[in-house]
Amino acid sequence: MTPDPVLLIVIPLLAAFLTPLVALGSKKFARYVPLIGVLAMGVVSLLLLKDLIEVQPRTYGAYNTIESTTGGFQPPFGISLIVTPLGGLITFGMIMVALYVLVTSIQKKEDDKGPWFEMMAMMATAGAVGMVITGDLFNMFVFLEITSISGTILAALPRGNGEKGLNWKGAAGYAVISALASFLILAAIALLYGATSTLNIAQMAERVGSIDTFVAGTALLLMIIGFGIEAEIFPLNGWAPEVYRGSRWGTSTIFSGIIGKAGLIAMLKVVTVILAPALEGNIAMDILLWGGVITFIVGEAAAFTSKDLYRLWGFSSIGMFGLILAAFSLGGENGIYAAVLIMIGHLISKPVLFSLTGAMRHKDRDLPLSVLDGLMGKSRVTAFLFIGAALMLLGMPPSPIFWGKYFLFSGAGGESNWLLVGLLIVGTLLEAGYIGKLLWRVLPKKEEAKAFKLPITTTVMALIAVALGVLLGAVPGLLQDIIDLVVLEFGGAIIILAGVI
Amino acid sequence: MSDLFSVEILLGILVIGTGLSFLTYRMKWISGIVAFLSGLLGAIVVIAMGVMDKLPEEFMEIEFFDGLQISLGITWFSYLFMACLVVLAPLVLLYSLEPMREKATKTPFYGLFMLSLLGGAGVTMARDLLSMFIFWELMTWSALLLIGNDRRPAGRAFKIYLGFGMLSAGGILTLIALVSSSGYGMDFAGVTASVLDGSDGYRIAFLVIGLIAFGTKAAIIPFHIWAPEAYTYTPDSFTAFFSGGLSKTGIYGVFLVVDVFIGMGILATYGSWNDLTGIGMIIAIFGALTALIGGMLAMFQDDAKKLLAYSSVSQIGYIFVGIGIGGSVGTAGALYHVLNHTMFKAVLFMGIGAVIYRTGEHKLSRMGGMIHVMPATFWMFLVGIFAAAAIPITSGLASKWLIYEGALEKGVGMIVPILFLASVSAFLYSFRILQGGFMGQLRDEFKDVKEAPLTMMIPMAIIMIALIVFAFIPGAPMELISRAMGDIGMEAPKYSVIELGSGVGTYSGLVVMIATGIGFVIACIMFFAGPRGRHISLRDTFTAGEEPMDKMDRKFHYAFHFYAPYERVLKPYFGNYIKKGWGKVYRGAAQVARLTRTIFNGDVTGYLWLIFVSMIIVGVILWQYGGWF
Repeated sequence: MTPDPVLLIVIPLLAAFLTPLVALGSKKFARYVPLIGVLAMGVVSLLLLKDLIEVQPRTYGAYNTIESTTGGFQPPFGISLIVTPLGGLITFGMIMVALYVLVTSIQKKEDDKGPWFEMMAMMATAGAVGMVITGDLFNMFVFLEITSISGTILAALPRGNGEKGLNWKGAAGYAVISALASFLILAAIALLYGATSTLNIAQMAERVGSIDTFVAGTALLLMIIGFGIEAEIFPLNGWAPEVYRGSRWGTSTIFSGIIGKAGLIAMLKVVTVILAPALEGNIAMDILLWGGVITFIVGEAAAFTSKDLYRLWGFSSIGMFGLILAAFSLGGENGIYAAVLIMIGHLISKPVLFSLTGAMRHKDRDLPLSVLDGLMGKSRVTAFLFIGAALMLLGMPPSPIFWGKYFLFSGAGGESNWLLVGLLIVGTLLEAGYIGKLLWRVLPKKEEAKAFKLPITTTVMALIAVALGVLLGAVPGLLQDIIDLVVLEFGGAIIILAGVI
Repeated sequence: MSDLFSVEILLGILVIGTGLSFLTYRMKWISGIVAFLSGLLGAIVVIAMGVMDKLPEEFMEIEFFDGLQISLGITWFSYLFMACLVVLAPLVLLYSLEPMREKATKTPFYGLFMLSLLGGAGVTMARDLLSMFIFWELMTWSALLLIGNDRRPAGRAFKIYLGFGMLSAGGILTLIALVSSSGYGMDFAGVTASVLDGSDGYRIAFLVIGLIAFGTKAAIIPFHIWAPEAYTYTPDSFTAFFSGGLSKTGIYGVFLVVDVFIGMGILATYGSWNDLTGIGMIIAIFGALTALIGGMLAMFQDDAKKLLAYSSVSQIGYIFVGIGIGGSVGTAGALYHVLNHTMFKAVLFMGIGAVIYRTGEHKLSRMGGMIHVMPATFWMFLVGIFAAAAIPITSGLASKWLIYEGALEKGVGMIVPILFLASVSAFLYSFRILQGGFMGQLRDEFKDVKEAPLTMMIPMAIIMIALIVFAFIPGAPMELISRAMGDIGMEAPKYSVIELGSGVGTYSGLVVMIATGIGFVIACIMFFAGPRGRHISLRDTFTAGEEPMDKMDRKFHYAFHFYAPYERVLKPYFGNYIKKGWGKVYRGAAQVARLTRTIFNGDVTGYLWLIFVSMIIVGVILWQYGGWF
């Protein structure tokens, strides 16, 4: 049975709506409403993913999608949702990140001002999932707005529920800059709509070949900048470190695992499907490739010199966004394999690192790296999970990122792109540098430190995540089917939507 | 029955041993026993495999994705290196049982030890670049996590080893990218074919990157600076394996690059120097300089382990000379020295480790007189020193002799003086560690120090016996070496059980034995026939028999700043310039990385400007290259 993809939008919105209502009755119970919602979403997206993989045939350019229409309108009218292989995979990943965040933050003891965080996390997930699976450009804008507004609120929430004052700096910066992003994207949509008279992505992709290069180029410029802001691409990502620095770990996880990823996928979708074919040569992909590489280097360099643990992971997320973007834009089978594997590895390891960092909460606003000193002596479990996740992020085998990097280097070498190989080596060295520095701090020190206990939910969830990462790293063949489908999706360059048009 | 001694079993033993010692790491004693037993079983399997001549060229293929698989296999060539690691490991593990028992370290020592063994053995089993890289990473990181386990402050050592470990890993990744640009597979046959078909640029790039990637692990200049730091700050029990065993994987990689992937045939097309290829000459010169600089720096170390670590760098230089000279004699010499270095470096680190375990002192100037309280350790250490300095009655002579012969045979005599100079420094640093550590006056606080425990002495004794026995029957190791050389398409020099031949001369174990025997007899006659000596304590010598006013524990023998005069003369030429240079590189890179902080300064207006500027840049790119207008 194939569930309707629209459930992925309806469930979180419903859960987010119900949460404050239930909170009127019981604040404690209201926490569980989003959790139930996200579990239901997980089931739906898993079923969708299973369907995508199992349905034959798989030929070049004709891969499987699952569509859904609203209000009885057939496309190109009305709003259609379309779950492509990449979309399905990322949706599932994002939902799992949301599940991780919600389960891990369920066990909170501080005085409670209501389930704002859970509600906004639900909203952000709904918007992000919508951005990934929508088949309609204006609809994508709507979801982007939902995502960025809930993201602003998430960023504004103080680090602990008990803490006074909001994280104004990060939230305000994000509000201003993401408003700019929305404006740019809206302008690009208006341009494209004017030129093609349609908002359906598939139909637009068909018609875009005949439009003026100037319009296409302008739209590309606006889209790259607009979505680049959401996807934390350098130099558009100035807001990101502030958000990571000041907000709670859940927010950071959502930005790195859900909002940013959605922006990245939306950008790839818009650029590869609609705009790249309308421009000369491979210029659009080249811009994305080098933008991604620069982001990777800058992100890892900033993480290398960072003195605040939250910011460090934030910069590292930025670097990973750049790496994923570069891998996708490199294209070819190797590039797509690399991108998907790195993305999966990042989705698994980053929530663990953020949640462990969050568990080591400090009185000050910043979290100096010295909180890690002698962690092995304070709590073996935490140290073990921390080392595991950090090495997984770096790409120590067995880790999906190891395979991703292997494919990336093969791909870059296969294209004889030696500048790319060199820059990737530099970035990887920087990454190894800061991860090694953190591990050094984690190793036991002579002086015994006060024991530190990890909350049980964090322990369980982090253990599951690390085990999953190790499993996928040891037997990466499990992911082969879905990645092959993604390769087909990008191999066709233009989505052919049989049955939709 | 013979199925019991297969590589699958070996891998199984190592994997299970690693897992169990990680699981039991809180019960240190059990963990150690588990690690030792699995190491012992592994060594038995490896020896049996060699004796029964059952080496599977390909024994395991693991497919990760369709069309992406790794394959493992063993040739005699990789067997030689694997045997170094796997046979040495149980000895070191047995040695480590006693000292590690009392250490209050919270890191899983034995688990990481076994993991590094697994990684090292895996590197030699790999038959393609990908699996080699996987095992390489395992080995590097497990050794990394052992740094600073029981000795602080080791932060710098950790960072330096991390940096160079990553440099070599990055080098292998670049090799992978290089090979994939050629369109061939990652298996060794594909790599060889890619070099054969490749352009000149491809070959040179492959050679240079390969040498950097693997040479870094082997600690060749200018990539050697990690070795003294890492060897000094790993637990004493691990260092013997680290330096004696794991560094051989780097040598193995260099051998692969030079003799297997590229091959002397191709190297010969790029110029020559007398009978030697130009590139071989460069490698040999680098090796000779490594031997010299390592030896000179070893002379000036007061830290016993650091001295041995620099000596290790120096000895690896000799191996490089052998690789560079190549040909029958040079390669045989290099491989022989690999075996020798494994043995004597292990015994040296074990010996000094025993002293450190009993006294808790690392500095030579604070030891002294250990011969009085740890005589057995002293004798075993002495044999190690003899081997390192290539003194007869130890196997160390044969390998260095082959390397010298190789250099002379190829008509590159200019290498030999550098090596001789390096040998002088080897003599000097060997003397320093003997004099500082074992000779001289025993300090009062060490009067009650006991001889090293039996579990620490047995492994040292085994290696010592091997070193002496192989000196008289060089044919035994040569049998293994000739098979290994056969695998990489070379012919070993002539040898019999007791004789080694080269184009220039012959090394005879028998002659060495007889000569040594005669010398020994003469010494005995002189000792017993001459007048009896009387034991006078150093204090009496120093104070001319008077009692000093205070009865303080004074040290009268010369150990502090031992080579001060040499240091004054030589330091300007052999200072830590390379280390300082790398420091500058690191600081420069960090400075550049810190520039990012000026970008992410929290100023939203600035961020908006950045967005504006990047819009203009993307616009210009579109305009110029995308046909925007």
